[in-house]
Amino acid sequence: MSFAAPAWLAVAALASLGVVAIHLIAWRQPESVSLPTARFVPDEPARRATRTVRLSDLALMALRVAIVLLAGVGMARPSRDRARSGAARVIVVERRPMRADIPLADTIRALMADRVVSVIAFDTAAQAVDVESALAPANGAAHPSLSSGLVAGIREARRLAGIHERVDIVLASSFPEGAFDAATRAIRATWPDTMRLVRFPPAESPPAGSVDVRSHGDDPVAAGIRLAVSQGLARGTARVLRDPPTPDDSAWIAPGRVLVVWPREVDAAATVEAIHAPGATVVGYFSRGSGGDSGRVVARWTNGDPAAREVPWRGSCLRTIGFDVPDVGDLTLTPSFQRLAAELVGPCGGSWSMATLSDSALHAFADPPSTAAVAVTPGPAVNRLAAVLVALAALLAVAEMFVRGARVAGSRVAGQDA
Amino acid sequence: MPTLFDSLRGLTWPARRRALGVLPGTHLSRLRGTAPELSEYRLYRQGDDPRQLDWKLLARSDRAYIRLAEDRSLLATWFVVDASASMAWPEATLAKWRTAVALTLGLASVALGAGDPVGLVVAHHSHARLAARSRRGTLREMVTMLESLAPAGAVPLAPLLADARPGVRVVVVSDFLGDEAEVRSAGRALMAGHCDLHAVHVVAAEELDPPTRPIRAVDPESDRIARPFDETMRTAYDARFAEWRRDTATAWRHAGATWTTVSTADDPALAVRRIIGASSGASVVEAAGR
Repeated sequence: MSFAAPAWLAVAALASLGVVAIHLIAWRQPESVSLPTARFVPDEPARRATRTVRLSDLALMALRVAIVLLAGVGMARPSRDRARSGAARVIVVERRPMRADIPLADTIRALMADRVVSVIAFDTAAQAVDVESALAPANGAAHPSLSSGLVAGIREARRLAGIHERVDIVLASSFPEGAFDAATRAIRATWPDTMRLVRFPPAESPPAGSVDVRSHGDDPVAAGIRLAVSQGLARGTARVLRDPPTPDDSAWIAPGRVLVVWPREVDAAATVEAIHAPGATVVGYFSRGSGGDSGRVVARWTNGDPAAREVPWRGSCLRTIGFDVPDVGDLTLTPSFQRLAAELVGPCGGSWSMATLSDSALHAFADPPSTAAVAVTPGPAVNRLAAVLVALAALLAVAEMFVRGARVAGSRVAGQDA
Repeated sequence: MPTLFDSLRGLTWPARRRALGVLPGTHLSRLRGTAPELSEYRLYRQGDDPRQLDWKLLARSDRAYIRLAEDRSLLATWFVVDASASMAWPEATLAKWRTAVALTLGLASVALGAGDPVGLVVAHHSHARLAARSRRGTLREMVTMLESLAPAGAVPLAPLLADARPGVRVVVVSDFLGDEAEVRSAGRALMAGHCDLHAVHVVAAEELDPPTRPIRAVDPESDRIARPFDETMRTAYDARFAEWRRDTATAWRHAGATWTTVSTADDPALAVRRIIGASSGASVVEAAGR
């Protein structure tokens, strides 16, 4: 057991000795007893030393000593932590769609030597795994989120800090800009020590768009999609269904393949509308259709209604587009529509920046936070054992009042019985 | 209580002085009358009852003599009982009060047995009082009155003695820890009025032998008297208390009264006999053990 404020133990010990001394040597008022012939008692001073030194009211003394000791131990804030020793390391590894190359694997394994290691693998979520699982390719790995990795890693590091004397965190990632969000730096600031960063090459970018558009006749949307693909705007593998889907289309869905259902609303009246998707806003004649009832909203009308939704399916996703463009007009040839089309046929989860952080930015990320950042670190959890001990001391103090009152009443009764 | 009365049946309590009463009773009267018991002859004086002339002596001596005989009359007995707080002790048993009540009723039963009227006045805030009567039921009334009282307070005894008529027997039952000097002074005045005064001093066994553990002794009638008391003071306490008892007894006897000390440990019947014996001229016997 360890104590956060051991000085209180000394205070409690001294106070308990004082209580014992008071019960031994303090002046005590004898019990008052009615005696009609009291006038014949020699009128001498009330204070006199007793001949014998003995402990009086042993029960009351024991109660008072217990109160003092419990309060002192409680104020010393004991904790039942085991003695901390040794070093530990938390390695937070970004999941990758391909197996880690040998240098990365060797680096990770070298970091595990001579200490207790916990490995956390993360993409959009984080979980504790063994090192081999962390280095193995993760099929269907979603875009990495450094925030989720850091939360899990810092939590694990704090747990190990209760057992080990030294704990550090190693963050192994390609550090794409898309992995940073608004909370990442604040989460980093909760760990007051330097983080070791291991940067490895980013995962291969998705190949240039391999988009299969199933349509018939003159279809301006199909033309616009193909134009976007040819210009390199669309990436990933997708099949766009302008006609009703077939079982073959359902079977085609697999991890890395996106099925886009974009029905032709040839009979619907077109009106001037605006559609917004990340990185693209298009104004033109659109006819509204059904964009699905659930799932992630990929694009919206200007009034906020979903224009396109995406639902996860079989390790990939199914995207439903709820609008169409008239057959006449060149809207689909405009750059804005092509950017919209590229977003609508792009990989699951939407496009994100694969550009990696600069070295200086990464250096700043590795350094420990400033004092202001440390201040936001939450304080130590409430010491329950200390609270229980102090509460127990308070209860005994209440009991001591009753015992003392009973002693006084008993002395009165004894006086009556004399 | 019935056992006490039974053990005192047949006991007589003669007066120490000739009674002043005129009603016939058992006590020698100051008056000389026509009782058959001849006491003396006296020359006839003008105004004497001629029926008292001894004609035979006149014939023999040619001188007129009248026969004087001892008259006997009743002697009313008044009990003045102390019911102050000091009598309610020990607080658990009220032994002093119970002893005082037993002595009062025992003496009253003896007096009533001789046909003497008995009255009662209690030094209590209730001013309990019973007029002197000799009828049946008087003793029961005294029992009821005394049993219903709880000693408390510090009502002085001396004013109650002033109510006694001349020539009666007054018995003061008290621990005399209150206005003893005033009571004695009032008693002296009663003695001057031909009263027969008896002082019955009630003392608790625990007062004669107080506890040995260190205590803070508090007078129940005066909170200002509160003194530490332990075994080192025991000798001094015993000496002072004994000296007081001795001096008080001497003072009362010098005043002409009888003084009898009765402990709560004594048998009430025997104590009553001692009190009666003291009034018959026997020496006063202190309570056993002191």
